[in-house]
Amino acid sequence: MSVLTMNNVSYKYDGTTKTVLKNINMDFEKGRLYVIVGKSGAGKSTILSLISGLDTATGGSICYNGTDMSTIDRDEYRAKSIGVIFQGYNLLTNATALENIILSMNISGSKEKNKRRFALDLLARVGIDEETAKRKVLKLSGGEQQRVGIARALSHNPDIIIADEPTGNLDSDTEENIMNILRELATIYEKCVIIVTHSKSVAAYADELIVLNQGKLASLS
Amino acid sequence: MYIIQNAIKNLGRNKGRNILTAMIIFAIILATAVSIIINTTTSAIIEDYKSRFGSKVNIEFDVSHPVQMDDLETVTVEQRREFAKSKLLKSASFRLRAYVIPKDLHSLDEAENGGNNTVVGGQGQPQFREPTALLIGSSRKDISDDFAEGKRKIIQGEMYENKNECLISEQYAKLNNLSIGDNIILESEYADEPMPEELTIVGIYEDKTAIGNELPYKSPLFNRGNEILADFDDVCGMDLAKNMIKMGFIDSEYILKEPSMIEAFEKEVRSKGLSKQYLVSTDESSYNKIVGPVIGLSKITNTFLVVVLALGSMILILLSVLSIRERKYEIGVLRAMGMKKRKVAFGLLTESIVITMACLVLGLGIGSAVSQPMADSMLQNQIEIAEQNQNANGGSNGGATTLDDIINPAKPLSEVSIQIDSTAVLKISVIALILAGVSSLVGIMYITKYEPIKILSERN
Repeated sequence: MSVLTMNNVSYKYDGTTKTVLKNINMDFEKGRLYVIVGKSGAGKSTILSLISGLDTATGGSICYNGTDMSTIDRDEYRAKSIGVIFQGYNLLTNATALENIILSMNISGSKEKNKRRFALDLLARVGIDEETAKRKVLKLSGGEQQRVGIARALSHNPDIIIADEPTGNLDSDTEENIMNILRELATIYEKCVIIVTHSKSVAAYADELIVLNQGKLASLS
Repeated sequence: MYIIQNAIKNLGRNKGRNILTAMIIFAIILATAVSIIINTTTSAIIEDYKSRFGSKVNIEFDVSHPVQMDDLETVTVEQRREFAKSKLLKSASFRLRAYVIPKDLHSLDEAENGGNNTVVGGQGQPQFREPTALLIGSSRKDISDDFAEGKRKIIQGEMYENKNECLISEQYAKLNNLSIGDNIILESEYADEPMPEELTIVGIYEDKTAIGNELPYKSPLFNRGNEILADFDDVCGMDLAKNMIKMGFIDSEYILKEPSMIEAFEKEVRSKGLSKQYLVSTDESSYNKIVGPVIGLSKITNTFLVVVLALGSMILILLSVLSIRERKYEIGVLRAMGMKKRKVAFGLLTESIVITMACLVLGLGIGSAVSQPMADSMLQNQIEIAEQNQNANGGSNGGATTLDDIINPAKPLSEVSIQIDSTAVLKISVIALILAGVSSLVGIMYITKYEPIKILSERN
């Protein structure tokens, strides 16, 4: 079943005539892992911004569970329905890793009784131990921050998980671990996982590989 | 709830910035607290004196239009009593001062003055003796303000109730070895017409009015210990007081229900026969002299308050603008995580409120402690300025100088007792809350202006 649908989606930046995305049509379903590849500047991150509700399309529509996103509360959508793993992490740097996760759960209105325990378990799942979890994000390495970002994206159990270069700062062992988690989320937990990457090894995990070229999508599988 | 928790945690996460903000807010609140505490107290004092002086009506001879003795129209006791019946008045009282010579008795400060009973006056004219005491008849049940304020009190015997009863001071009693029940004879200043009156001492009063009020020269008439106190009606009936009544040695004190009734009261007393030779007025010069420095202090604190708030607000806004560069990333992340604009704004406001409340408690505590010495110092400055101004004006305060002015000069308030009341606390708290709003204003405006993608893309 399609959880996210892009109907003739176009996008161009304010004050420019260049169209970044041209009439994109795409269905994203639960239980599948999508990998979007393409050259730099092809519009990969723009697609993620549109899907994550951080930006709005200049043409066409994006539907979440059949409802046009322009009609729904996008704050609510970001807080509950989607988990975003940013390339630049976008964590609260003065807060600890644990606090970042708990805050995300609070924003989503999570009913989890022991949020602290849940967050620690989640962090452990991505390879962050309790001691590291209590350190300020600013004092963590790039790889550790990336994993905290992944844990945060999973913390509120969203339907859709989107990731911009999720393994860019990770060693190969951790990359494999993270990709296995994302794979599991799609296959076992029936999440829709959308990844943007340059990495061929990440692309190998895809159920569906999508190539973005000159603002247009082409599905390869 | 989590927003408040996060806001409180944020205070610790960004110590440097928050300490700087707290220091500025604390400085503003402290200055504001001192200004408002002093201002509230001085305003209350000013209002109190304004009410007292504004309500207290004097009927005095208009010295700016002197008349020949033969043309002088006196205000009779009966007229004064008639004026006192006005419905515009809260109360009225009379005081008659008669210069007398107590027979065979010594007066305080008599030695310094070279003795008494000096006879003056030319041939064919009345022969005057220098008076050595002052007989005061008062219609007030509490006799005078001195008794009401505790500067004088009856320490032996009781208040006069019957005809020809009087009170004397403790010093006067000691000097002449007088006690309760003794009789004294008072004579007029006319050597050839002494009109003796015999009075019985029924009470002795302690007199503290001279403390801190020493005059540079000594005279029995300037020594208030020589005052013999009796009932107004009683003194009015004495022969020796008749000339005094004729010469207008009666002080009438009319207290209006409202200061604004002065014009209506004047109209009424004029219709009851008060001559144009007399002025109906409030004691503005004494009011200005007493309260002037306090008004000056109040003006200074008001100006100080405005300057502090204006400058402080500007500094806070500047600090907010600078710190928003640091905070905008945080705002972008929270918004990207799905936190609503109003919740982010509430978080920022909560941080400011927590800082401000801590500063408020500290500022109120320290402010209340330093307000008194600051007020004392500032008031002293104001008194000095007022004195310098008066000296520059040749010592005149604009009114006629009477003997009473010399003996009981209006003195500026030399101290104010600073007190914090709920109004002051409320004013300071409201200002503190406004400061909290100002310090989070830029952040809140930023949130409403930009979308998270813009904030994050700018950083990335």
